[in-house]
Amino acid sequence: MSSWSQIVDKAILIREFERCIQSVYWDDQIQSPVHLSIGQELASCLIADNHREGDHVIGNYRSHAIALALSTNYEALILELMGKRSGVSGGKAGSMHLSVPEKNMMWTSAIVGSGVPVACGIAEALKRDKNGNVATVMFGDGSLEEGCVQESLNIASTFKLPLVFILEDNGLAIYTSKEKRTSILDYCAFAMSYGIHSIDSSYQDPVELRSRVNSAYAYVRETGHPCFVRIECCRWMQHVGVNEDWDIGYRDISELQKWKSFDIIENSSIVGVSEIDSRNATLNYKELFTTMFAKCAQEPEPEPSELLLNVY
Amino acid sequence: MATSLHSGPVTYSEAIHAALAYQMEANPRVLVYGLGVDDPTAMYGTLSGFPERFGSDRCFDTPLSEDSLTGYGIGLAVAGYYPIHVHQRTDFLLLCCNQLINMAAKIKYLSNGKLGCPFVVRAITGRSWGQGSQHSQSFHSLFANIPGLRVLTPATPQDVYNVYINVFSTQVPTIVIEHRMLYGVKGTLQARTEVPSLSQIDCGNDLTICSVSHMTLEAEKAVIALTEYGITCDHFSLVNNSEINYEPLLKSAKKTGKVLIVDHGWLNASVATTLCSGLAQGGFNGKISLMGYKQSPCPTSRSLENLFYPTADSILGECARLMKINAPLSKLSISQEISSFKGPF
Repeated sequence: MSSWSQIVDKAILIREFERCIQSVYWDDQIQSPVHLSIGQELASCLIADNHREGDHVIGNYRSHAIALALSTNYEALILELMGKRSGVSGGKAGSMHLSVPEKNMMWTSAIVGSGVPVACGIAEALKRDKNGNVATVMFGDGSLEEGCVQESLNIASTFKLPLVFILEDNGLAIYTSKEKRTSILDYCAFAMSYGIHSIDSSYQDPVELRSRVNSAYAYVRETGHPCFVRIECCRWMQHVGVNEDWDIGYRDISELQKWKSFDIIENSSIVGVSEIDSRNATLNYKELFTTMFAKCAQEPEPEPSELLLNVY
Repeated sequence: MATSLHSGPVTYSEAIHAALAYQMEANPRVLVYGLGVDDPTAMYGTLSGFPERFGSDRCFDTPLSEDSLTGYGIGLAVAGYYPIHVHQRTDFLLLCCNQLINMAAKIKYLSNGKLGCPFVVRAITGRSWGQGSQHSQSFHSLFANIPGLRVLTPATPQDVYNVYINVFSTQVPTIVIEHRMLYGVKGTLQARTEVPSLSQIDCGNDLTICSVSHMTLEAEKAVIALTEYGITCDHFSLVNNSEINYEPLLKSAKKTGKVLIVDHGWLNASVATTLCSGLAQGGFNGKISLMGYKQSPCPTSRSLENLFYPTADSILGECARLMKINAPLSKLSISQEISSFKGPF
């Protein structure tokens, strides 16, 4: 397992990658929707920390963090965001369908919740392969209102699938608060009603969060059964796009201040990492990605003939 | 070479059984699942003995969650398995559209060819005994509109056998529309090395017919009746709706100058109209006529249902109109597989 210093370093890498997107976005270098992971880096770092060879991860449209946490080939991801020929998917996938094939993060879906049933099938394959591997699926609280996610909880439990459900609960579906969307008060109790071992956790205590995520993986590896982890978190930016939106009236900036106090980047000392180290890492990654994004912007577009390749 | 219908030792359902048993035998990573696949009726006999022979973990029943179980099949397929998801009625595929269209059809493209999705959906279209508006639909045209999906409508034992024998030779997600009324059709089997595209049912010189699914049976009855009037037909049955092979159709159409397309679905925005435009773009400028479902939901009442579908008799009538036959036509009775069908399901 990684040290806290390594986890913080990875979280900073992700944040500076996202900050770099913010700085180039208005130059139209990335001509597609982007759903930034700023403020939600830690969960992805912890998932990647638990990832073993042969494990699978299924993300969603907000998957920059998990892709960066798993990958070491950042250029392939940047090129993909830019729709370039040398992107990880030849520019055909972009931000909303990112993949890290070498780590079995196959592709991601922009249809809320729809990766969850696919994760059940992948977990079924892993169960049958009997290599002790597990699958992880990441989704937001809005996904739990999708029928397919509720169906998937039943399938995973009934078929006893080695699947870690990671619910990143930021309380929002775009602008719509949970209270308007659901009568489920306790997501863990809901998952438990399907007979799934469930764990509640929050970014408000990063050390405990890490311990609980690790325990979820230990449980699934040991039992082969699914586990559900709710991670309470905050989306610092707007749902889609590169801006903050604390000024438009649907939530209060004081909320952000609260969540920043638990942030392992802004306050790395809460996990025992010196703030000088984290500031240095921030500067280093900022420079690294500024250079890398500029270089990638010069790469060639896909050939016209590639439009019709790999359809059938 | 034309395929003969109603002769030969093997039924359509036996052909499916033989081909799927071959797949299960050849590769332990082939799985069959869906509601009721291991029940005593064994999906019209097509999976008879499978749980005992291949294990209850390879032919298994599921929760009633068609949508998610489609995603589940996709997940299995991208992780190295060859799942076959069975639906007793094609109508339930509408519950699976998100996974089929948004997920399965995009995998190869979005992974830039790194991933395939060898996922097969068997969907059975019903008819008669009041199957009505929600147990009778055939959505081949709807799904054929989607790039990245392959939609197959085999109508003969030979075609369905070769569909399933070769279904995993590519990693394209595939929907096979079977028809309840086809299960008793008899034929001979000859293994081929690829999924058939267009199958020639009969050969002739005067009229070209292209039919889909159960309409192949109905149209062939009309073809046989036309020989009494000295008229012979090239009759093709469309199997691959997604990548249509126009060459044999165009060659025949240019020879006969007259084409009748008999679809097993509504005509608006259909594979029938696609065939029509393909023929026109290929340089055919003769007469074309189209038949298909009437533009209404399928009624439960048998008397109305008989009006809803093209029948052997109405197809014969349309052929006579195209061929300008003035002699009185002999009346073709309702096909035996329809008239003799009793439920409860």
